[in-house]
Order: sequence, then C-alpha cells, then structure tokens
Amino acid sequence: MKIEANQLTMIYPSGKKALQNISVRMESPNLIGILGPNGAGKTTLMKLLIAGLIPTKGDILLDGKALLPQENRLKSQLGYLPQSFGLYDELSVWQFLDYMAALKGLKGKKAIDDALAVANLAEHRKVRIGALSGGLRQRVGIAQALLGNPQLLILDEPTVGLDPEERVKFRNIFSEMARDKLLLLSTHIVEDVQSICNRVLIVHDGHILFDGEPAELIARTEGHVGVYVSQIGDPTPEGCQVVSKVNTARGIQCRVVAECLPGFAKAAEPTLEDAYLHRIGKGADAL
Amino acid sequence: MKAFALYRVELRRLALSKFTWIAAGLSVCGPLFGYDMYVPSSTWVMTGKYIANPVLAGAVLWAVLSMLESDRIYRAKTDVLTDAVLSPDTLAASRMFAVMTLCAAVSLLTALVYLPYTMNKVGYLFELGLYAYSFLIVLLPTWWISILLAAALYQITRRIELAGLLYAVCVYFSFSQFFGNHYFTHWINPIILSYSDGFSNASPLRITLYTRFIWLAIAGGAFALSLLCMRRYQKNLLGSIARGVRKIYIPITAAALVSAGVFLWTGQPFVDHGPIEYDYEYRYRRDVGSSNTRVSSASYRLEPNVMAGRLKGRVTFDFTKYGEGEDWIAMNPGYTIAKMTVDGDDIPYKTLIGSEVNGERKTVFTLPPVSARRNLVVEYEGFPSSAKCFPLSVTTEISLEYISLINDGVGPFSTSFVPCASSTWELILPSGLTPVVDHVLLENPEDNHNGTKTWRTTIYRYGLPWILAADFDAITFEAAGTAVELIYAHKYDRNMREYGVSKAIADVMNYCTEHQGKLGFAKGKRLVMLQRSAMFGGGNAGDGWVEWSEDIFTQSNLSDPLKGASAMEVFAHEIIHEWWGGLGVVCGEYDDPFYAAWSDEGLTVYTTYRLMKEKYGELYAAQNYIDVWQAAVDKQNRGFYYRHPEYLAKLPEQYQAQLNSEARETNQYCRMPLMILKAERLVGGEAKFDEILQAIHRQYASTGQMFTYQDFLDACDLREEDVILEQDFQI
Repeated sequence: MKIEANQLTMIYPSGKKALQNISVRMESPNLIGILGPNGAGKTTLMKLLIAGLIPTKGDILLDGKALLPQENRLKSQLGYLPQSFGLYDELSVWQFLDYMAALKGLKGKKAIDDALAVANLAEHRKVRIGALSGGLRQRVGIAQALLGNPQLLILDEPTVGLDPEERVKFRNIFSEMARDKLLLLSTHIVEDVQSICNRVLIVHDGHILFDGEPAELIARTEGHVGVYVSQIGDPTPEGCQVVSKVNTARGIQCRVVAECLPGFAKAAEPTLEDAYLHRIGKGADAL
Repeated sequence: MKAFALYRVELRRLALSKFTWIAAGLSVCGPLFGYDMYVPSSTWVMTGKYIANPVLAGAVLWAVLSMLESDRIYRAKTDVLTDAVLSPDTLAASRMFAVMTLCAAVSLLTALVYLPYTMNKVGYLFELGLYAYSFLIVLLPTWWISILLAAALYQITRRIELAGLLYAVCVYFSFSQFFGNHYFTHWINPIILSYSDGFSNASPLRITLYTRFIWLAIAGGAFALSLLCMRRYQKNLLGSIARGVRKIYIPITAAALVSAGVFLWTGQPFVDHGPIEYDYEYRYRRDVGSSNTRVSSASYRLEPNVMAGRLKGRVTFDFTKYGEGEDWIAMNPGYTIAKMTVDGDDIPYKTLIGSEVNGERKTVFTLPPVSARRNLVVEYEGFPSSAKCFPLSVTTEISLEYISLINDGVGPFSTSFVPCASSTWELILPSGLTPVVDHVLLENPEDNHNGTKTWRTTIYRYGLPWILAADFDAITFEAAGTAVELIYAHKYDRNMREYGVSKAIADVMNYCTEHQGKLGFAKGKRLVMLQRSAMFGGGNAGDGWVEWSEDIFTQSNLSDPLKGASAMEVFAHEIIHEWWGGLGVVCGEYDDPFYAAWSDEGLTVYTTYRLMKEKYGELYAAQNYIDVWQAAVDKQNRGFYYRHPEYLAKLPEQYQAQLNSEARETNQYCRMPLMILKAERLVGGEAKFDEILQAIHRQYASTGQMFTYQDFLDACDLREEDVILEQDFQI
C-alpha cells in the first residue's frame, strides 16, 4: 500500500490553517511516527488520510490513484483509532467488536477473537463497556482498529491511558504489525516513536519540519545538546531550551538543546526527544 | 451479506438500548389511552371501539426513539469510529431498518397482548382478520411513517431539538383542520370513519391502506433525501449534499418515492377530483325533462367486482326524441363510460371533467331526433368515489361482504330525459350476498353455478334505487297493529333476539300510536326496518321504511340502559318519522326560505323528546333535549352572519351554501322543536297538545296533503308571533 499526499493545504471554515502545502509519501511496510505539539496539524493530517476530510488544496493518492473515489477500498483496508472516541456503553466488549466487525464487513468470530487476544481483552469479553476503566476502553478502541488485520493502521495517541506494561506491550505489537503493513502512529510520547518507528514526521504549525529516520534526526542534533550544573535562581542561558532538570548533590543538572551551546555546557549524546525539541525550536523558517 | 450483518448488529444494539425498551413498553400501553382519550372511529360499534382505537400513540414514541438513536452516534462520539469504516448513510439506512423491525415486533406484541381482552369485549362479532388488518394496515405503517419522517428531519437538521420541533409541526398538520378533514392529510392519525361489526370493513381498510402507501412513499422519499444531508468530511449541509448527490442512486430513489407518493395522492380513487362546491339546492332545480328525449323503459345490468371494489354496468334506455337538443347523463365521477351506442352504433359523447356538482359528473351527447323507439346503451365501469364536498361519507362500497350503491353510485341517470316510471334491474352478485333494493329484500335468484347469483327486480318509480347487498336476515313481527319487517346483517342475529329488539321497536310504535295516532299505511303494507353498515351513520326514514346504522344494535348499546337511552334517540327518531314524514303527516314546504325551520324534523324531534321524557324522566329529557336545542339556538343567534345576513350575501357561493345548510339544520332540529315546545305550553300542556297532534294526524296522514306551518299554527289556534322565539330565525 502506498499513500502520497501532494501539496496538501487544509483550511477549516473558521479560517484556521491546519496544514499548509505539505507533501509526504508513505509506503508499506513502514511504521511512521508523527510528532508535533498540540494543534500542529497531526490529527488533521490523519483525517485527511482516512478520507474524513477533503483537502482545501492538493491531492492524496492511494496506490497512485485519487483517494476519494477509492474511499470504500481504503475503508476496507483501514484500522483507525482516533484520539477521542466513544463506545456504546450498553454493549459488551465482544458485542461492540462484533458490531464494528459487521461494519467492516468481516465474517465469522475469528477476527473478533484475534483482536480480543491481541488487545488482551479476552477475559473482559462479556463485560459491559459502560463498566470498563479508561485504560480498558482505550484497549477496546485499539482492538476495533486491529479487527480484520487491516493493511493500513492509523492510530492517534493509541497508548494514552495505558499503564506502562500495556504501553510497552502495544508498542511491540505495533512494531510486529509494521513488518508487512503501513502504520501511522501519532503520539506525544517521543519514547514510543524512538522505540519502534523507522521513520518520523515532525509536524508543526501545519508544516512538516522533518521527514526521515529517527537516527537521522538525532544525528542532525549532534553538538546541539549539552548538560551543565546550575544553582537555584540561575537564569537559563539565552538560546537554550531546557529538556530536563535533575537535582543532584552538586546542584541542578540541566540538559539543554540549543543551536549554539553555552561554553560551560558539556556536549551530550542527543536523544530523539532532544532532536524533536531542537527541530521544533528552529520552527518552519529553517525549512 | 454485509447489509444483513449491519442490520443484525444494529438490531441487537437497539435491542440492548434502554430507550428502545421504554418506547416499546409505552407503545404496548398505547391502546389503554385509546379506549377513552382518543377515538378515531366516529361510531361506537364494538370493533370501532376495541379494534380501531389508537394504538397510534406509539407513533410519536417511535419517532422520538428514531431521533434519539440517530443522534446517539454523535452524542456518544462513536461516529469517529464508524465513519472510518463505513459510509454514514449506509449505517443510517441499516439503523432505520433495524428500528422498523423492532417496531414491527412491538406491534405484534401489542396485538397479542390485547387480543384476549378484545375478543372478550367484542364477543361473538370478533374477527381475527380485521384485528390483524388493523395492526398491519393502520398501526404498523403509521409507526413506520413516523420513524422515517423523524429520522429524515434529524438527518436534515442534525439538531435533535429542531428536528423534534419540526416533527411536532408535522403532527399538528395531521391533527389540525387547516388542510380540511381529508383522508390524505392525516398521516399519523388515519381517519377510520367507522368499523362495522356486521357488514364489511373493506372501505376503511382500503382507504387507510392507500393513505399508508402514500405516506410511506413520501416519508421514505424524505428519508432517502435526508441521506444526502448526512454530514461528511466535516462539511455543512449544502457541502454534504453536494458530495452526497454523487451517489446518484440516492437522489433517484428519493425522487422516485416522493413522486410515487404524489402520484398516489393525486390519482386516488376514493374522493372525486372535481370542484369542492356543494350546491344544496342542486337536486331540486336540475333541468328536469329539459330535452326532447322521452324514455319509455330503462334496464340496468350491474356486475360488481367485489375483490377490486369496482362496478361494471350496462344500461339500456328505450327512447324517442321529438326535436333537436343536447342530452346528458350524470354518474359517479369514479365511473368512466366504455361505450355509448344507439341501436348498436357508437355515438360521440363528451364527459365534462372538472365540472362536477355534488360529486356527479355529466356526460353530454346528442341523440338523433326519432319518433320510432330506439335504444341507447351506455356501458360503464369504475371505482365509485365519494363527493369531494362530503369526502368522509362512505355511502358507496363494493366488497366481498357488503355492497352499497346509492344515487350516482348505481350508474348513469338523466334528469334531462322525460323519464319512465319504472326500470328493470339485473344484479349479478356473489352467492353469499342478498340484495335489498329500495328497501325490498329480493327473493328467488338464479344460480349461475360459478359462485354468483343473478337477482332481478323492477322498481316502480322515477330515478335510481338504493341497492344494498349483504348477508341479510329478516324477521317479521307486529307492532301497534302494523306488520314490521326487520332486515339486518346475519351476524347481528344473536343480538336481535337476545336483547329483544323487536319489542323495543314495538314500544316506540305503541307510544306514538297511543299519543299521536295509528300509522296510516295502506292495507297489507309493511313497515320495513333496515339495518345498514356503521359507515352510513345515524338513521333515515321514508315512505314505509326506516333504516339505522348498525351501531344502535351493538351489544354495549343494547345492554346498557344509560347508553341505550341516548342511542335510542336515533332509533326512536327514525321510527317516529313514520308519523311525521314518510307515510304519516308530511310537513312542507321544504324550500320555503322563511319557514326553513318547518319540516318533518321539528315534530319528530319533539316527539322523541316526549318519548324519552316518559322513559327516563323530566330531568333527563330537559338536559338531553331542551338544553341542547337552546344551546344550539343561542349559538346561532350569536353568529355574525346570522345577525348580519347582508355580509353573508357577499361571501362566495359555496360558503353561503355551507352556512345556509348549517343554519337550516339548527332551525329544523333545534329552533323548531323549541317553538313546538312553546306551542305545547301555550295550548295548555302535553295532554292538550297530544289531542291536537292526534287530530292533525287523523286529518293529514297518508293523504298526500302538505301540512304547512300555518296549518300547524291554525290547529293550535296560535299566531306566528306567539310561538316565535326571542330573535327572528330567518336566514
């Protein structure tokens, strides 16, 4: 499966420019992480890719052909988990998945049982959704997206609300699934992307600031990450963005990213989070 | 297969929703309200009360459920999941089928819940078929229409409160009189004029089924149209429609359904499509004998198609014509002339469509002037319709169990001809039906050995007879020295015998004979009392015959002394017409504008009051008669046009005719009885007045001499100003 977005612009009726002239090409197998601050345009991009919105300008191609005329084909191969969604509380977990399976045109119980197993919901299959905790509801959301083993998975903040163990488990599941599928993962948790994504898109203010492998992004940040020890009341050096502060016996150990590190800072090995913050800090002007 | 799977899961989801259970529970309770709060059927036959009652309350509940379920997916934010895998219009359509299926299941449950109770109340007259049809034709389609309309309104507005408001407006439209009391505007509360216990219910069921098809098509079209309005791609209404029309089958389906509804509405066969005007005087000033054509004999052959409700007829007029001139015939607008020939040769004719008066449509032609006798044959066929001015009167019906052909429903007639004094009739009817022609039960049919019998008769009067056919029984008995033949539907046999109907009739006749004199029949003539279908309503009387609607003979009327008293009014009233009207004293002149109040009705209503006073006491008679008359007269006196007739003259003719007709009715049935009561008191009380009435009866009954208002005043030795009420009643 191949999706190409060409010079996409999305302006909402309110006048808000959600995406501005972006182009991106995605092909399976791939696990692409989409990173960006709130309101950057990540969700809009995902909605455009699932044909939930029509772009103001530009076009999207699915396997080389316009997406909208192939909407039904796209939906038959799509697993989608939105950031915010609702479930029918009166149904049991199994009944809800059966409902969604019917909507997807899936036959038989196997697809449901598989999704239940993957989402670790088998023991909750008969529980009414209204009685589930937030984390379990999120797992039901993931399970419905996985129904029918779709070729394209678009997951918006899938690990929100999950406990660390479940988060790691799902991360690994997504990674395994990406061996033969196209999987788009939007998240605020950079660690998730760093762990499993082989490609990362950084979206900010409607622009794609970076599109490449995480390692490449990290490499570009070499020399822009440093650590130093400061005392209480010391100002943050100009041009530096503090990534973390850790209290130590010697004082506060600060980790910063900056285009030009202060002289007293000791260079450090960049992480993806450092690289992301560094790239965001440079903004769209650096494109 | 996918569609079925969608339908299945939606059905299960709805079945697990508490809203569904609330709607279902309340819908099942609906008929409880229908027994008392809302009565769709205008007469109180048992089936009307216990079967036609409005389980329709459920229609509103299902509409609310439909809107809530349509809105729920957005309220619960489930749409973000479902829209990603399926088009929202497909899901909306499958949801609607699921709601409609549940609704059908609940209607079945409702039918089963009330079945034992209804069987018990209706008793031996209960018919499972009618009961089932009531749910299948009246209830279920109405619920479906309501569901479709509510869902359509929600999908168009996407706001539940706005959709609810618009739905309420649609309901108001159905209940209001704004668009007239018309079968076809009542989408949620279909008019069931009446059900019949003993005759047939084909008419109300046919009309209701037809109107259900109309509204199902329109509501289905509206629903299909609303699928175009399903918001998608986060676009507004117009943007969504612009995208939606690309699924070309949706607008095509919507257009086809709405067109089918409009086609059914405009092409309906039940009420004629002519002008709405009613000309009260029309029957009395038709151009009688205006042409030079003289008819020496007329023979009719009628062959009803009881399954289709249609009539095929053939009439042969033997005529001579002296001079030139146009001729015409008139008949029910539902009939069309298939052929018109003179001595076997086709002749040109023109049917004047759109110029109907009182529901009669004219066809004009010119017969050749001939002195030798020729024959004009008119072949016609069609579904008889009601007059638009009386759209709710079902006087004509052709069905397997009942045939009623009255006036123009029988076939063509012409008052332009100089008519013959008799006509012969040949009726080919299903074997189970026995005809009554002009209140005579026909005998000795010819068996055609194909499930039909041919009945022949001759009527000795001008014009068309009244033809009824049903599974009639007859009993004969003597009352007040007069032979009475009571003809009734076979199904009522048990009631007639169990409740002593013949004795009740005899009581009324004995009272009138004792107080006002003996009926003046010619020797050997019988008084025929005919029971008619409840569709007919009320009663009627004429020369040696009385007829009533069947509701008077129902178990509840006959067994409840209190209700029986009020039902007895019509019962007694029509018998009393044999003393005042019919073969008794004929009170004319009917068309006198000043004495419009003076007619057979005044003395008949007064005598009914006296009878009820004797049976149920003075208080009952005062409350149910005198007070009712006074209230109607007071209301008339307060009426603007009554007080200012100069403005009445400025109104369009049809409104004048309508107001005059209403005024005439009040004058005849209320003002004149009050004036007669005043006269009774002025002459010295009831005993003295009875003596005067007996004297009048002796002098005028069966003489053919008109008994005028002045005659009445003279007999009472009173002057006009003595009995006049406070205000002049002239209009």
